[in-house]
Amino acid sequence: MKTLYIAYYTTLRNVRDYRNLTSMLALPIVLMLILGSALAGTFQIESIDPVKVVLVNENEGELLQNLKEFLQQENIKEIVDTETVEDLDQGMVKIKNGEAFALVHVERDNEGKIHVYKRNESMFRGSVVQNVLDSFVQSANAEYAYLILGSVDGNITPYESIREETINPDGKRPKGLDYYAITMLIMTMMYGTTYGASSMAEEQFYRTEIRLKSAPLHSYEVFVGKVAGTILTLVFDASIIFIFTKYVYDVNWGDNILFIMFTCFTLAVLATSIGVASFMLIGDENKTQVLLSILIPVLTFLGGGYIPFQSMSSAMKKLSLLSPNYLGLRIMLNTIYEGSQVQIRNYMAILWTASLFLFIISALRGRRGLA
Amino acid sequence: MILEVKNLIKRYGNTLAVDNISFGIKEGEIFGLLGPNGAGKTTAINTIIGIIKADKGEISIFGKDMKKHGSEIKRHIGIVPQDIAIYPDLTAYENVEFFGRLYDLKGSLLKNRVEEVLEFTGLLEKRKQQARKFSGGMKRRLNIACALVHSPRLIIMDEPTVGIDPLSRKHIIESVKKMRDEGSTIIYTSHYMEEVEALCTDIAIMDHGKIIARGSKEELKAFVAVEDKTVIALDGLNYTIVDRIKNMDNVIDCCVEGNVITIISRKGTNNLNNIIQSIIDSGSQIISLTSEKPDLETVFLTLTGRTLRDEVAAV
Repeated sequence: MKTLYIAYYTTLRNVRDYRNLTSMLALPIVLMLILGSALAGTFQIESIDPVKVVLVNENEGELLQNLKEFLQQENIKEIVDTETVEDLDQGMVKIKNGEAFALVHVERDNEGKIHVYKRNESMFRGSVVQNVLDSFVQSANAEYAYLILGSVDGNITPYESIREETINPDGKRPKGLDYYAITMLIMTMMYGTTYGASSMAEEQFYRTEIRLKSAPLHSYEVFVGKVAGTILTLVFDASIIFIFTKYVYDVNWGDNILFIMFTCFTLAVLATSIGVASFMLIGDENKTQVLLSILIPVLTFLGGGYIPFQSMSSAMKKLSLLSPNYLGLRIMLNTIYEGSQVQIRNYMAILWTASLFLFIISALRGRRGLA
Repeated sequence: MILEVKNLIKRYGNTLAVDNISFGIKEGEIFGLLGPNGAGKTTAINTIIGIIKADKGEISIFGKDMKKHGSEIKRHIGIVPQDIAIYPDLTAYENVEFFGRLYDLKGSLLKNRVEEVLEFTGLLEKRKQQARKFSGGMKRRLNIACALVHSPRLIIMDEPTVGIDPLSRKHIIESVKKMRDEGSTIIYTSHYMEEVEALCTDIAIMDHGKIIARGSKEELKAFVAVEDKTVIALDGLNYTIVDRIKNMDNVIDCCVEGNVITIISRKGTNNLNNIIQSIIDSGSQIISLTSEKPDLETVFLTLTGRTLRDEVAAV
């Protein structure tokens, strides 16, 4: 119960810090408008017509026949338009001329090797072809496994193992403002790291530490209360930004509002854990705040906060994976535009694991400090 | 004894902050801990209430061992820290309410206690105002209110009047007197002699981590005083009176300067009645009379060779 009171009063004090609260809310709201308007042209979604694929039909092997049948299924034809050519050279000419996007070649010796040649112009279309072929291979492997085990499952249909990478069936697509509303919301959450650091340092600053230590309280009650209060503050900030952008900027937050708020909560937990751990390890609030004020813009940049991810170089894209902003962005984009559930699940797991790890470090450091 | 400390030691590296102190406090008394900054008063108090871990020693509060029953004992202790320990973004009411909740107060009991202590400290009318807008004196009073909300049996006030205006100081001193009259047990640390003299029934003088003297204020003064000095201003001075006073028992010296006689007597002789009677018999009229006795400042100076205020000013 005392933990709840500490959480409540921590939130109350944070919310009453009007100067800090105003900058926390005004900065992202203004930035998303500027960036969203200035970089609106970057957000052109490419055609989602079926991807043109050339299949080289130069042998009568079982694998090739199965693949041909697979590609002719109605579900597959919706996303891949297959044209058959007689030899590899003929297919290559079509690729070079831009008449097809990818070429699929099954080797003559029938060892099961399928080669795919793609034009290097669209990651999206490349991923469509890759997913279709992966699905075929997985299904073939599954049938082979059943064969080895001595049973045949007649219900296997290859396209069942295609990963869902839906591009929003309703034709919705992110505008510049939609994109930057997400990245700026995430940036605000990450600036919450400063709240996390302050929550641990403020008792020293206000000299109230002595009152808490002389009260009949366990140190973990204070720790948990202050962490919970910081998280509540950040969720409050996120709600304000969410409501403002939804009704004033008409930002598309998708239909799964609860999950978007859960993602905000997850990021609030992570930001708090980063702030708390930073303070616990550095031990000086000013130094911690300086570090965080440098770190957050860097993480925001790497996470596609200022420049969209697809405009980055491949080296930067690799670095982006280190940014929690990027993980948060992917989770939100996938939620709003009904993208990869696997990615949502994996990135959520990473964020929660990182938070837990940082809280454990903070708690251990705190115990050492008390000792 | 409500508090008993035996052989308490606290070190910081090579510095002995608390050097083997022992003392006890009876219920209902105001125990004054006197000493300059850096004497070890705050360290001693923080060690006693378990905020700082002692290196050695035994502490028993309310008859219970602090090490074993710390959490239970803490419920009945109220601390007024030397630094103002309040949240500036909360109102006076919310500050007191928050600390009350930490001591498990709730509902109407909490509400009543918050209002009582705010009234006691003269802040009830300002209860809805955020503490950041308070003057230094009002913050000091709120600092006290936060310590009293849970009706503690033992109140520890560590320099509660530092850096405030005379009016707020007077209010705080009056509040402490009221608490004393209501039977509270208080540990009062200060380097203001007049406060300790006015409030405390039992005083310990601390320096360099040690208690160097202990007793009532009279005992401490008697400990250092060797003679009493009486200064009398007269109208119509008859010079024969000087010889008459000089010949009285226990009078060491008597001298005149203008219309003022200064009489030096042996310590504790109580011959003032005889002196006054002699003056009246001589036909002179007494305009004013001052009996100068050593104050605690003198006691401290005698014991340590330092003055309290100089120490404070140097910090």
